[in-house]
Amino acid sequence: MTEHEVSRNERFDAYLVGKRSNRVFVVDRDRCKGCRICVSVCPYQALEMSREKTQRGYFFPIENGNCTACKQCLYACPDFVLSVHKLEEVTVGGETA
Amino acid sequence: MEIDFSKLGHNLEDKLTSKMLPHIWCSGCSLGTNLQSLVRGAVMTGMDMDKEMVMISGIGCTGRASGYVEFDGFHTTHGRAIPFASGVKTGNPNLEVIVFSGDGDLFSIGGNHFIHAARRKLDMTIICTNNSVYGLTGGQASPTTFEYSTTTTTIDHNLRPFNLVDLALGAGADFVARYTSAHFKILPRIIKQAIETDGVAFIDLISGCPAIYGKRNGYPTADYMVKNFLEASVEIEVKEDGSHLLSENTRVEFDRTKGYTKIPIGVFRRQHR
Ligand code: SF4
Ligand code: SF4
Ligand code: SF4
Repeated sequence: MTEHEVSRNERFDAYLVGKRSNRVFVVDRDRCKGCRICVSVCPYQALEMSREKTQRGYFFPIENGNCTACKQCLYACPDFVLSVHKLEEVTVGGETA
Repeated sequence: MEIDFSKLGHNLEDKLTSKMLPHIWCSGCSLGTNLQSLVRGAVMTGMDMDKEMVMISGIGCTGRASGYVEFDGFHTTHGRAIPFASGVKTGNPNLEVIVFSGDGDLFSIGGNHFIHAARRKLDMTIICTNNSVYGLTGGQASPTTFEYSTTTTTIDHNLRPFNLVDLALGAGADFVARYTSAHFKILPRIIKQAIETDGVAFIDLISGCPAIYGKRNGYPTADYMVKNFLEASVEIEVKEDGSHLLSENTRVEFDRTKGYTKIPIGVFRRQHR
């Protein structure tokens, strides 16, 4: 497992985050409208905006390795883009890392 | 470790009408954050959103909200969210009725209904997304548009706006609070208290319309708006003589060049019949 692990599919970016790397920070890219609220509320400066755009033409947030899974950004996001899951709840077969 | 992408939906996905998302609201609009705070508050009460709660919205950008969540809901005609809600509550008193609408809908065409709802004390929660403008129709002045601000119907001067907290206190609402959409940390708890209040609970939820009002009136971007809300907010100090409830101490102040300058926040009244 690399230090900053990311999984992607056509809809989601999923980052392995948290002090014990047991949380998954998820960006549901095509719901994002690029407003940057998440970037500005994150207390750990863990988000940056992408350089490429989504299908709908917006920039979206990228996690840079500092995320602690504190959930501030997902409460602030107006578009239900961001979420934090427990790793064991979202892995195939439900096994822990 | 392999991620199962089918499990990555939003933490509240089962409370949302997923097929309706992304919603129609503009980039950075406070409405989405407010809606999420409402859903989090409703979840906190432990009630069954689908069976025990009803969400009623009026016309305007906010009116769309009832279609995005799994509450039973109704999108009423302009200004008539409260009369419809009164009917629902009278017909089935076991339901928790939540009215979620904007300042234009609730306090202009629906203003009369608000004061009478507060007088009648039917058990309902009224949450006003107060962004000081008619967003959906292109930015006309609303009853809470500030005195010196630019809208499509006020070039530089407008009449004095309603102070919604003052209005609700005066009309006799049982629970009166004001927060901003940037108080998403505490809001679910306040919304839970409002829902649990027996009687009329009112929350003046100061919100932003960056796309139409903000760009003309000092908060052009959503991230600036969120910082502006937090910086301008002042928690009220409860005074024994009640002077914290005087109109001049609950008034929201605004400057056309830099956005909000003072937002008194907190719970102004908490009483049970
Ligand atoms: S707050 Fe939400 S909609 Fe705005 S940029 Fe961040 S993820 Fe996108
Ligand atoms: S969960 Fe917390 S630390 Fe992680 S990106 Fe969001 S605000 Fe930043
Ligand atoms: S017009 Fe204003 S209130 Fe309406 S969705 Fe856009 S930003 Fe929000």
